Amino acid sequence: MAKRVLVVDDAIFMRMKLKDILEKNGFEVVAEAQNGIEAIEKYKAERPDLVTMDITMPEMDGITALKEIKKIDPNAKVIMCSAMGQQSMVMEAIQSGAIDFIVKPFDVDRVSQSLSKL
Amino acid sequence: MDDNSKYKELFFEETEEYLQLLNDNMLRIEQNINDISSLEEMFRAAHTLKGMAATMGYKSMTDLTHRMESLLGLLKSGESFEDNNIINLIFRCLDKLTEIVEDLRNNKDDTYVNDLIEELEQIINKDKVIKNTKKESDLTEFKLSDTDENVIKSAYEKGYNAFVIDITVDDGCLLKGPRAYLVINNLEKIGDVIYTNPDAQSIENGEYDKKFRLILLTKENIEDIKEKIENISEIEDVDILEIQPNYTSETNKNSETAKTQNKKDNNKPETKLTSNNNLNQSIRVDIQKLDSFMNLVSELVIYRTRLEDVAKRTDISDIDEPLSHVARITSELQDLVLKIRMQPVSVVFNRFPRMVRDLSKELNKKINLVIEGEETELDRTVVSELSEPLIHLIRNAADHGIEPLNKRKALNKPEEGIIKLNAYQEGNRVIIVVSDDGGGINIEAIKETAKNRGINTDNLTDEDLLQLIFDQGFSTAKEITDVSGRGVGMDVVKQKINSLGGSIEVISETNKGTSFIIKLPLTLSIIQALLVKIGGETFAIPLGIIEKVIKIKDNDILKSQLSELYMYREKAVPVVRVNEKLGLNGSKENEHLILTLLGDQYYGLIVDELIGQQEIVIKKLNGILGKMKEYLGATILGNGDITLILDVGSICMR
Repeated sequence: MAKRVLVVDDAIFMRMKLKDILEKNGFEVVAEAQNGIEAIEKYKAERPDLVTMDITMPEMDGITALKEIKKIDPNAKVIMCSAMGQQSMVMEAIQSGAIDFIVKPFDVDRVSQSLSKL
Repeated sequence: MDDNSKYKELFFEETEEYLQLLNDNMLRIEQNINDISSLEEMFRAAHTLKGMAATMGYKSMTDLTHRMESLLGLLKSGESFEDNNIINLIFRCLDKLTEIVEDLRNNKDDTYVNDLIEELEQIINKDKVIKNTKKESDLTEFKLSDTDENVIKSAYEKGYNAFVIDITVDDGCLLKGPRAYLVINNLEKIGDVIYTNPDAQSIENGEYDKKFRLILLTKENIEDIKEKIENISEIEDVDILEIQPNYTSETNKNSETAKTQNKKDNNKPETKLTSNNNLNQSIRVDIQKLDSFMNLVSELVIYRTRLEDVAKRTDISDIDEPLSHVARITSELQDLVLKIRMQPVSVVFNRFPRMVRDLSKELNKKINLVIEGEETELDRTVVSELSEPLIHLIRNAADHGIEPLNKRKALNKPEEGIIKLNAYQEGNRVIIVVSDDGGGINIEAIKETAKNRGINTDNLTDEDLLQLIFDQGFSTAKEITDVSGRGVGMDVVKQKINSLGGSIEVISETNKGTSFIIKLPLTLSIIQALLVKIGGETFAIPLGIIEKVIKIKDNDILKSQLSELYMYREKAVPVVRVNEKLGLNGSKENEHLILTLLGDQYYGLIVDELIGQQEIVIKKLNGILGKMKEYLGATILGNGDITLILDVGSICMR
């Protein structure tokens, strides 16, 4: 059975790209969210196996959303999507329980490799 | 390529600051080779300069700063300075950088740096070569500190195994810091990471090439550990070696027992560079705009004073309150504008330590430069014009003033000669003194040179002879050294200082030393002044130098054969009748004595009458009027009258 994924990013274009990569690797995108608050709502509703979380978003950023989701489900698997130069935020995410991170702009192969290790 | 021209000024400004920092730090390190924090600051500065140069596309500068960064990095990790060879090399690099910046300002980006780069590469790569041959035996030949060994030993006793793990990240890994952090984080779930190479902070900053190393204490076995790490993305290779209990090692002076557990605090310790960054929270303003601003404010002050005058005369009480607000606000405006234009002399002084160091090496003398009062402030145009004359004076002091080592020994003087640079404010002037404890100016040599130039020296006192050095072409130095002695110096110095509205004097004593005293106006300023009447005319005296105003009677003044004195706090103060100095007839009705302090000497000025205190704007006098030493300038009073401002120093010293 395909793993179920929640894709979180404020840019529609990014969500599209990521969805393509995920589906190519055999994942099923069950929901999308455009900010941290929506991410938490959709997580509670869908309980996906995996979340891809953008860091910079309006309303609520990815790190805060990660922490809230971890409170709901300590075993939640969240991958952070970061840009160059967000070292410290990525590290904060890792401290807060993110299991991995991928760097934008997305390299299809690298993302696939990352997903294959889950 | 982006249009970087709008960043140019900012680039140059920042680069100068970093260059200054590099020079200062290198001087510090030269005095104390163990100064690690200065070394680290230098490393960061070189790194930043490299980034800036690369962004602007300046090739020579990028290439040079890149190598400098590498060299400083090596020195930071313990490479030795090899008895000053490297120190001199770095100083040469800094000089070359200054040259490059000059060229860049003139739109030239082709400064020759190849020789210097070759030298740098030789040192940098020598190290790399050695490191490369060590590569194969990397894992079996590393060294642990004593502390690490003890931790491992006691861990064994508790049933833990110790593994040294080398992790190589993918070529394409972009965020190396977080990637390594992820690895360490995961490993800490199954044990303790007690050692990392490089240190924890560097790893978190991604400051490693592709490989980093750690020592893990855990109860897991080697296969499970390997699998756990390989399961992390962007990891290319994992090498694990178990450390046996009876492993012996030598202490590695470079190893660190970095506990990587407390990584929450990513704050770097406060460094001087952050205070440097505060300097950048400023904006650049066109000097001409500032000048216009100044002029407008000064005119505002004049007309405010006139308004106050009118208000007094016409007695409209309604006008008083708003007028007092206007007065307060214009005062604040004045202060602000003056402050904006002021700069500490340190801006000019701070290049001198390096200059004196180079000079003392060049001349083979021991010279110490002592700087005092570098926070003293001056108008910025004055400050920037000061540097050339000061350079000349200091060079002279080093070259001609300070005697060679054996001569100093013969005279029982300390081996190290002292050049002192002192700046302080006196009234509305700034005094800068350049003095040395050397041999003094050779009066006989001056007499010789004067005679050779056809000047009759018979009736000249020693002081008069000294003044001759300010004449054009007058150099008594027998050899023209590289440093000074071309005979074009002192007259140019005097001219420059005069053009700034200042004056220069020289005092010298054989075998004791020489002092040059430069007096400069603070600004085209707005000052508080005391208005007085002398000989029926109104004059202004700057309030800053006035200690006390005393109404006197004739017998308060003690008359001696040559002079008049006034007793103040048991000291005899010379009395100056200003009307006589100005060629006016005095009136004895309401005589007052104005006690002034110039430097550390009191003078008592006799004036006919006091008028009152007032804020005035000093307008400089031009042309022939400007040559009159007795006056600092003139001002326009509230009633529209023009009043001359007395230069008390000149009046008293004549």
